[in-house]
Amino acid sequence: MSSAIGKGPVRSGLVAPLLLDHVNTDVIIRSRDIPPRASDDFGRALFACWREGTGETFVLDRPEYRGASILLAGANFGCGSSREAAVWALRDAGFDCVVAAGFGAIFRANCVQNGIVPAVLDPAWHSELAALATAGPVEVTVDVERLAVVLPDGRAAPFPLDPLQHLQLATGRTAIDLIDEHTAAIARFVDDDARRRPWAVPTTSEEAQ
Amino acid sequence: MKTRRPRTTRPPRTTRRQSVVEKIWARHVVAELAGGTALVHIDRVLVHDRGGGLTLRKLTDAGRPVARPAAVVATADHVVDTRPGRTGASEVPGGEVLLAELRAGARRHGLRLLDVDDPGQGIVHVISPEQGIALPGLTLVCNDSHTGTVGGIGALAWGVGTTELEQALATGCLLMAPPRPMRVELTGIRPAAVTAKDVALHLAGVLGEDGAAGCTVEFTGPVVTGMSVEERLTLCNLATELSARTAVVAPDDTTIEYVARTPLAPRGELWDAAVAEWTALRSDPDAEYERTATVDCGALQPQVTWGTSPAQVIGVGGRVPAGPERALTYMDLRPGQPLLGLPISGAFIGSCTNARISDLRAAAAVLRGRTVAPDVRAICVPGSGAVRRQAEAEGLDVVFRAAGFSWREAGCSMCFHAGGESFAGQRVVTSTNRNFEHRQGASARSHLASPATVAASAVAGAIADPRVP
Ligand code: SF4
Repeated sequence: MSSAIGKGPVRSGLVAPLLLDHVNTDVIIRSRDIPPRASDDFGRALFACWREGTGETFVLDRPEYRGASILLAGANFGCGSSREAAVWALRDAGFDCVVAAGFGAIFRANCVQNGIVPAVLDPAWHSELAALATAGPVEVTVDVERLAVVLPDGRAAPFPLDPLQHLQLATGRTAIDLIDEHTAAIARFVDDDARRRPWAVPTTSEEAQ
Repeated sequence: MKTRRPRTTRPPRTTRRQSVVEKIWARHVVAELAGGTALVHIDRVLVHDRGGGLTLRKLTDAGRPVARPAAVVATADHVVDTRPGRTGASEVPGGEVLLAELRAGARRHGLRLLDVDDPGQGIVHVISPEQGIALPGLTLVCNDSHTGTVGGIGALAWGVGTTELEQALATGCLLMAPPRPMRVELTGIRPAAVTAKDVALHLAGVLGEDGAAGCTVEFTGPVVTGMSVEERLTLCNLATELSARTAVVAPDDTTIEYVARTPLAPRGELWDAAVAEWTALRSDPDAEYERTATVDCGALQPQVTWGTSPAQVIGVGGRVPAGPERALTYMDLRPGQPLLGLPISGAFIGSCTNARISDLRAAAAVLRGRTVAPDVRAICVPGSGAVRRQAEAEGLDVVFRAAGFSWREAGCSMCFHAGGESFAGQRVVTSTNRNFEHRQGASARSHLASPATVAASAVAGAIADPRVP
């Protein structure tokens, strides 16, 4: 279980702007399009409900944004369902960063678990990058070590990450590896807890009857 | 509505008064890590068929056991068939694989599985409080965004993705940032015909779809203390649609009476110890919150959504506001148009929001002696097997059937469209929680409302006011 996740701390790429607010995970990947196995390609289904039959009008299908690896989204991106498939769809379609004005909390956590950087820019930087990216194809660098999105002119737009997520994205360490460093503390807690809160120890249905 | 922004300075931790959320959190911290992140003990893990089997497979492949199998319950709810006489198969593309993986994984890891033939089976967030799997003061996670529903009994419950689910299964813990408490106080005297669903939809409208972004909402105030536990579950269920991280109602006597009747509740001395602890789970009077909001419920009407987000909502007698073009186009509505009288061809009562016994009673009260309009496809899916059996004992199934509703086995059913049955192309009044584009089927137009409003609309063949006889 200790395989590293993600692509390392510094990622550069083309920005695809999808500047809508409250894009939910049902839209990112429809439930019925989610393949049953983890090894399947989820990228094919990314935004299918908005792309089907639209030719090259949807931003990700426009020739100038082909090969984009950084998605620029609006506010509350990835709200709604907890489906991690939404993140896998982005990952399999080649995205390793999502820059947004805000994220749904579960989506954001899922990004980190899969090595995708969820970067929240403050409104001024967000609209500046939005203006740049909608004017034409632009490449930026998302630097996890500096916690900044570096624009083509070299200016750095800062973004926050909580320290643990920062560590995970910078080192590629999985949360399970990090938790495993505390095995003894967990065992102690479970023991103490059974004494402090005996009522909280799970009862099976057989015992209850 | 009053909203207070975060304060910049806080008194030192030792002297701070705590909210109920912080009290439950503090009881579960195994270790504090850098920057306030904590390793948190998870008392219960719920696993459902949509992604649960895949997660158990990953553990098997890694040769990793489940840390505390007795703390885990798996249920088949999302992709199971809900038609009478079901076999445990799935019509959803890939659904057979999902169910087979869940069954094999539960067997291999020694987990209790509530399969379609188990009397305890049902929608995960309906069965966990109903069976006493979730209890006040516990921490709980599930691979589903509406896990915060069980905050209605005073548990601290989070929806997680499958990777975090895997962590919780393998270690019994999660790494988490501390909760950001937000208090939402509901004041006024709620009119009799206004349900918890109407209150929750109104809240979404007032606060917006990111009105509680990242926060843990504690619902307080006279409207909340006056609610039954089932109503509180509905209220907490919809907090997800404000982008809350989770929601909670501090346990009180109403909660304790409810929990006492659940099959897995602690008994004897354990019960007394539990009650002593639950009684202390109140927010201190001067507890601090990152944000607060107060919403008056005194003048509320039954609510119906007009758009493609639960926050796009109005009173049933209102007119469609000028809203985002995309939502209006999808819903085929014009600003200024009344919702009352808008023809529908689908009616759905079900889901973790509104498929408990009180919901079914409310809908049946509207349906008794009446019939569904000729062109309306009306479906009632009880939230759990226990709800279905109780409804049948009360004769509610007869009322639903006589009215022209299809009466189903428990499951998520057409709350979402996974490729099996759907309301494709139909306009539907639905007791569920999401009216997203295509949520209930390709091009389905969903109007969220309470079970009573769904029932009244099914009879009228159009969006209707449940208060009008
Ligand atoms: S009933 Fe609907 S919202 Fe609730 S868990 Fe099932 S699919 Fe999700």
